[in-house]
Amino acid sequence: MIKTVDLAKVYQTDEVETTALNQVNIEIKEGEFVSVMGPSGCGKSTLLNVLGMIDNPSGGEYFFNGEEVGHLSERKRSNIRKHNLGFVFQSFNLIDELTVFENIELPMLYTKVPASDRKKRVEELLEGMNIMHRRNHFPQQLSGGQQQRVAVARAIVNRPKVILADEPTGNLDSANGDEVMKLLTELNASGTTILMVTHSQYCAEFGNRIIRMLDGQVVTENVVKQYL
Amino acid sequence: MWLNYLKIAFRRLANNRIVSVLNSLALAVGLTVALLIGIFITHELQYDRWVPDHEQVFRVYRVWNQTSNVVWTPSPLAEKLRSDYPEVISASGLSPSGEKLVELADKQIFVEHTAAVDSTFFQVVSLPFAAGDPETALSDPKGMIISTKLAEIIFGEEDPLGQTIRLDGTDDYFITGIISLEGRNSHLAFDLYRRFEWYSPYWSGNNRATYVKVNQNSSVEGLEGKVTTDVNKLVQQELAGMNLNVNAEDQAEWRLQPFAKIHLHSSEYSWIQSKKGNIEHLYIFGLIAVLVLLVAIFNYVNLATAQATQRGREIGVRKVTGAMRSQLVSQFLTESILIALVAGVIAIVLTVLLLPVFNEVVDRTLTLQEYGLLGVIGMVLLTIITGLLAGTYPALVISGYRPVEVMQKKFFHAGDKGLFRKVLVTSQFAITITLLLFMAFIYKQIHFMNSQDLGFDPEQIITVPLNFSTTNYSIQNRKNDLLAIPGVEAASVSSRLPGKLIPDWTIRIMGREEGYNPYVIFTDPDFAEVMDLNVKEGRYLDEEIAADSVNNFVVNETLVREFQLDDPIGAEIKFTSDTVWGRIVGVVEDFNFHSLTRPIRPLVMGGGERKWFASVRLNTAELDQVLASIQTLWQEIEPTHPMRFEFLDEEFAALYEEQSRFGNTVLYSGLLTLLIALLGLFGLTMFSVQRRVKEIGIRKILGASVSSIVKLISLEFILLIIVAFLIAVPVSFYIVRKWLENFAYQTDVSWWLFPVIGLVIIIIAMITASVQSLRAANLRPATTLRTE
Repeated sequence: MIKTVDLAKVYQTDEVETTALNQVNIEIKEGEFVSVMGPSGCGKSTLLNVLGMIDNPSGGEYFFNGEEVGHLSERKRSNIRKHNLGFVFQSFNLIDELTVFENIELPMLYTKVPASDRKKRVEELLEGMNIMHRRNHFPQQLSGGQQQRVAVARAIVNRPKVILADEPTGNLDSANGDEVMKLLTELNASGTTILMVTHSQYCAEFGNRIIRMLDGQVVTENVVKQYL
Repeated sequence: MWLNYLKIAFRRLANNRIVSVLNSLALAVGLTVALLIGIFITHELQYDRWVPDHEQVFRVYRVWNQTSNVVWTPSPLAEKLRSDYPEVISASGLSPSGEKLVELADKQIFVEHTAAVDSTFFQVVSLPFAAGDPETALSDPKGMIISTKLAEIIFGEEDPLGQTIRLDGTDDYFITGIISLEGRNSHLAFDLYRRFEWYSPYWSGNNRATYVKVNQNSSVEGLEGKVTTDVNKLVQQELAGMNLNVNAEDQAEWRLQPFAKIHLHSSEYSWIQSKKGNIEHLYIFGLIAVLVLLVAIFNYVNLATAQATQRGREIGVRKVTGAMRSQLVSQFLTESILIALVAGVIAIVLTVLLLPVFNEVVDRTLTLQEYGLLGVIGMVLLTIITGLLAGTYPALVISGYRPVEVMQKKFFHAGDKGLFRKVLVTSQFAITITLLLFMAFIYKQIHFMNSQDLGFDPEQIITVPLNFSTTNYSIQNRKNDLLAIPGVEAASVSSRLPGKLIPDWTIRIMGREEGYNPYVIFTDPDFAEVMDLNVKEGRYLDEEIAADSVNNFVVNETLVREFQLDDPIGAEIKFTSDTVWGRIVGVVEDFNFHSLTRPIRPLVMGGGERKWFASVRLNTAELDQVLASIQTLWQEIEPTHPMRFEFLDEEFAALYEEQSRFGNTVLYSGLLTLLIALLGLFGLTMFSVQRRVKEIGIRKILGASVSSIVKLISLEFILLIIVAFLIAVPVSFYIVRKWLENFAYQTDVSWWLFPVIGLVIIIIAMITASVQSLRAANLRPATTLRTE
């Protein structure tokens, strides 16, 4: 589903050149739950951004579903993104001016899902995540755990093939963190591919496989559980 | 989707109250100025365009050397146009006949705007008749046409047709037609029309305007050429009969001015016209409206782009969830249009409130009603276009951020370092300072003209128009009684007065072949004393010398210089139509008998009988009492008319009313532009403070004082305003110099006004910028750092 060949990302400012990704070669199959670990600044978030097509690689190739997407235009990448990818962030990234319902509904507006379907799908998710009673609240009125559940709901509402999660439990206490990990595991069980960046060994072990990175390179790949 | 855009736009408006208020207020002020000026411009452009067949109607005028335009034409011209040129359908003369006293039973009304016309006038110009027949209304020499407004005042509910009214206490006329303009505007806004009482057969005398209606598709230029050749030949033949040569360069070109252009394109024409329009002012007003609106739009652009830093997360999320750039652009444009619509509503309220003041400034009676549905559509369109213009740049910039950068707040430090914003702020203040500097010089010029030594003393002189030619003699007979009133110093009668329209006559100088055209005032011997004229050579006219009341003349210095009279006293001159030669007996020091927009021209003062104004010099602290005594005496001098007087100095000052009104418009626009720019500056410092809150905290921990923090924040904006000032100085210098070219007498372009205005604006801007920076500087560092 995802394959990179010598993927590279170099940030260039006036005087400094920082290599964030250096010859990264990974492959993620459909249905996998892959965790990416490594110290701060090792390039794991950059990898997630490039794989999520919200950042361009500086070199190498990136195949998504067999198609080279690393060098597509923003418009084309945006098109692939909205139909195939869902994002979960450490800081939730909900839009303050939209209610819980509207935040979850947002991706479907961009994929032009009819209003009645949108309502049905959002309500299913709200129900499933046990936040139906919060549907008309604004993000500031929710706890961290609730906000992340809304963010997960938003990420999966378009039924993406892949979910990219960047430290999804980083801002949560352990109970709420567990809750989110449970959600991700369930999604994976139902067939969604998940790529998660995390600092936490505990969280990483929810995945089938752990990729460890250092200084922009993949150093080891551990199989935690056998992929079926 | 749109619902989502609207929802988020509304919520943002509500959540960011200060920015919303700043933005919508600034746009509202800009839209108000644009709306008021727009209403005015539309009003001015609509003059006469509604008159049927106006495209076929023209007014004849004469041009010399492409510069000086005169509307006065000879009496026989209309008849010649009708009979000799196949392209002419009809032609007819008109002359404003000033103020008339209308009487019906015990009602006495002074009608300010009256005109004399040929009987066929309304066959040329199809003004709408509410009653009567335009073809025949003036067939009878005693027929009279009045406006519906005058009819209502005189007759109320009664039918005016056929009723008789008395004019100027002597002649009876009967009403044969009622003209109703129904609120539409025309340069022909007379309340009373009657037939000419006289006709001059001369081609060299110009005494009326001639209107002509031509066939569709006929060549106007062709007709102009033919008329120029034919009429100039007639003039030349006539003058040759008087032994006068006419130089080819002294011959005018005869032109046709389109009817609908008369209102706006006649400011340079010598002609009596109430509420004259001025196309140049219209262009300047239009430009001001655009500039003020632009300053308001810049405000929005600045605040929206500054605010964008707070919207990084939203933009990022929308992008990663699949928003196309075009969708984000649509979203931001929805917001700007929404704000513009809110501003539009405020602008309509402000316009309604300000319209009475604006009407005074532009001397019109504009109403919103006259624009109806079209006005509403125009307003909505203007608002939406404003919203689009304001929103486009921010929308393109904000939607162009890459999600990964905005999510990581990297874009704060990337990009143009706010260069574009700086350019906009500088432009805003450059426009503001230019307008205010221009305004300052308009006022300086008006003050200069009002305080200039005119060469005569207009203070404490009352002037009274005379209604009959015989009143002249009545005054002479009662002059001693008039002078006996304590406080009356001197009294005089004259054909014209300084500041009024003064005619030019053709004169001959003994021993020379060519004719000359000086301005002419007929006065009695006391005129020099009343006006306090300074006789430089010889003497003024004398009562004791019989020839002084017939054909002796006093001239001004300019005449001596321009007509090259080496020895003026005793030089023989005469009007072309006179048979006997007269002599120059005195030379007076030059005085401004026109407004200071025009240079002093050659002037002849003689003792002829045509005298239409009395002027009385007073010297009293008890004005009311003296005026009451004069009024009592006046009832004996001219029993049929109540005395109507004006003060000469006020009349002279009124010559600059148009400039004053223009100055006021620039002043108000300048101040409103300043207000908008300050609103923007306030918003920008607010964002600057928000962005630098952490920096401020760290600086404070390291020992920075409040004043150094205020300086830090304010300085970046003050520098921009100084740059704006440096741009505004040459621009306004150029504009002021250009504008002053309209005046023969010009105030100095004093250098000190530039720094004074600049400094005032910089101080106001500093105060505005300090409000926010002071607040930030006074926050405890713990709070500011925690916020970050």
